[in-house]
Amino acid sequence: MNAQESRLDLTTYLVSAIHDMKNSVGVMTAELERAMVHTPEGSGLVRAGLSSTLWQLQRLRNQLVQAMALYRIHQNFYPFDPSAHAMTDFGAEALAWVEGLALTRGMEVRAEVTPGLTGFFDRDLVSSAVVQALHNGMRFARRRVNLTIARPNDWLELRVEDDGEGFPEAILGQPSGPVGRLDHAAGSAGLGLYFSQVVAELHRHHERAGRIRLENGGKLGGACFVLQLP
Amino acid sequence: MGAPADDFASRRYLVVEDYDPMCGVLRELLRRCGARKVSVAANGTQAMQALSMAKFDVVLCDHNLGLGRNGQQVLEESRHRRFIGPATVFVIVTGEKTPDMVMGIVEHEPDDYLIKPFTEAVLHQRLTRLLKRKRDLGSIQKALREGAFGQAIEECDRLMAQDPSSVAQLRRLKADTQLRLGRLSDARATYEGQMADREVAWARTGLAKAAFQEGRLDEAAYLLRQTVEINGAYLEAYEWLSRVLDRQGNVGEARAVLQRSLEVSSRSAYRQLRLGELSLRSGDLDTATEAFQRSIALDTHSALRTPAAHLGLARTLSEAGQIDEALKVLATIRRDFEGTEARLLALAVEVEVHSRKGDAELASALVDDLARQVASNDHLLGPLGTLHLGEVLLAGGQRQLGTDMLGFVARNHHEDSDILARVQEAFSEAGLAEEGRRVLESSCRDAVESMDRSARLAAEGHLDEALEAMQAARAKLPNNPRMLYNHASLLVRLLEQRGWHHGHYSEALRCITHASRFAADTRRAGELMGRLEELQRRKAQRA
Repeated sequence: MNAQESRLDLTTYLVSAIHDMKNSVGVMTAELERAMVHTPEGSGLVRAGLSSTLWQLQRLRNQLVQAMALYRIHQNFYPFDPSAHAMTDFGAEALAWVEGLALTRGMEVRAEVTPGLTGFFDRDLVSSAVVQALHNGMRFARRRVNLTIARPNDWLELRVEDDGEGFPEAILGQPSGPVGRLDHAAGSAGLGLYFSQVVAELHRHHERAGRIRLENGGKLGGACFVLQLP
Repeated sequence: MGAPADDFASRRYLVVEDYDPMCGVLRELLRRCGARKVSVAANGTQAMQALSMAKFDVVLCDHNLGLGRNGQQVLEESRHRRFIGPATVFVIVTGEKTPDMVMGIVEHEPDDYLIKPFTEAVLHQRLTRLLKRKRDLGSIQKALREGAFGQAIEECDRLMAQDPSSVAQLRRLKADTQLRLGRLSDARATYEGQMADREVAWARTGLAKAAFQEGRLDEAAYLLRQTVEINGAYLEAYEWLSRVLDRQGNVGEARAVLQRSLEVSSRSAYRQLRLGELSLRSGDLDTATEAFQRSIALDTHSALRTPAAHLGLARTLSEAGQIDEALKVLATIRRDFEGTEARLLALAVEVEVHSRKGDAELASALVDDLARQVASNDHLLGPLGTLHLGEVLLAGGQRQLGTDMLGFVARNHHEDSDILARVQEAFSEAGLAEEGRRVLESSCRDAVESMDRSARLAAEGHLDEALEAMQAARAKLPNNPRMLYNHASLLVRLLEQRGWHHGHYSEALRCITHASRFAADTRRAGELMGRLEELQRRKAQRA
């Protein structure tokens, strides 16, 4: 077996392994959700443990999905499939992704979408970036996380805001570098931002490309993740 | 329309998933959404069985089903066999979005796909929306199924005005229908409308398809190159680019393009078959062997499979001198495929195998056998099949029959320069170049003369005499697209002038459908179909 073949085999192995892991995560998530339904209200510690495990599983799911997509994008094999989407539907589905988790953590997650708004983008990629941002929001929020979708100045703007402490000063603004640098120190948040930025950049219309921005303040006074698409 | 919960409870669901725990999870998710009637299948075979026995409203089908069919194949086959109709929501459940799900041919796309794992809330949302969209799009899909293309286009326009978020999707359906009808300038306008709005791969590919049909090959190639450059996973563009390059005589690059598409997604029996054919033609026997073998393996479980890959493999092995292997493949064809076409073509390849091996006696006996079988069958094969048979007969000394068959092909495709060139080649290879030129010339003259008389009568307004002449000419030129269109056109005129006549109507429809099998240019088909549809609409209004 030559070097190229063994590299190909390794790729196939990794891809299959990720699919397998996602199947397991799926089954575990479903079992856990069922277990939580049957856990009595009073057993606070057990419920907290289950909730935290569910949280970790969702994170795992996101990262596996994103790792696969990034790999395909990198190979120029990702079936990039931008299409028109009704934003009220998109917002509702983004909430559906985090609904169960929000419930177990006592969070109030809402979507505000300009009525009749349509966006043009690859649904899975953008949904994954937004759901990731909602997860991050819930991690640092006190009680509330908001998804606002609007079209100011001819950009489609998806904004995830929370009522937590906000981002540390150092990472505010637009991530530096051509496509956000991966930084080991930034940990899992760094991975998510890297993914979001790759996704944003893939969306181009005429001379404009999508972009992300991190701010503090917003309507809820905490951190804001902003994804803008042309 | 009831509350969403009632909606879920009254519908029938099928879950297809080979991984047992996941199957349980999906069923449980559906139950929690309010579903009551949920069936399960663990693999493609079970799925086909379930789909053949009951009508389902929703199918959730895993993409990767282990050995046997994958989810995509279950979808294609159940649509082809009409186990599922336009009202069924078919969702592919998958670990990742793959190019064949969203980047292939629109008829083979699922209604949606869901990336695993997902939650009950997401499933509920998605299914609610899909069921609603089915109701909206149902009228279009129904019209398409019934061949009422003009009506389908009108429905697209009506829905576009109602729902801006589905404009792109409806434009795609509309433009593809226009293309199918041969309304090339309309189709181009629709694709261009999309490009002005948002540049997307399907619209750019659509423009290339229109250019191809109009014979502007350079433009088509340019657009398709651009498409695969920008969107490396758009499989349909690779297929078309390869076709255009082949038509331009650039077999080498046509092959390279297919090979690149197979790197993106290798699980396509059709693209593997095309790669095999191009490789065989350019003498790369190793690549051809491998591609044909892959095509066969991928198609094992498909109801739509043809013997083409087997035939290609047998020819390749024979050329590579692997006689026994070639014969084994031919035996497989006899065992696994029914029908005259498969039998005759396999026999023709067998003749080639034995003459290559040097067994002249057996080859000649087989040629005689082939000649007998051909003589007792009408010329029902496609032009390439008939051409191949003629070639083999001619080479095997059946000069009269071979010449007849090649003459038949030439007469029926007298405007197709590719086919005519191949007919001439067949004669030249049998050492009969002069005879070939004579046959080509007389066949083409024959075709033109037969058509001229009836066309002249029609132009002069002698419709009944024209019809008679047309029927006589058709006996000689049963597969000639121009002939078929002329006949259909005369029948349409009769219907328009003299009122409804069911025989004329169905004959015209038959002519058009038959012609579009052989004609590269579908414009005339489109124009005639439009007029037929109008006639039928008037009839319905009167009724």
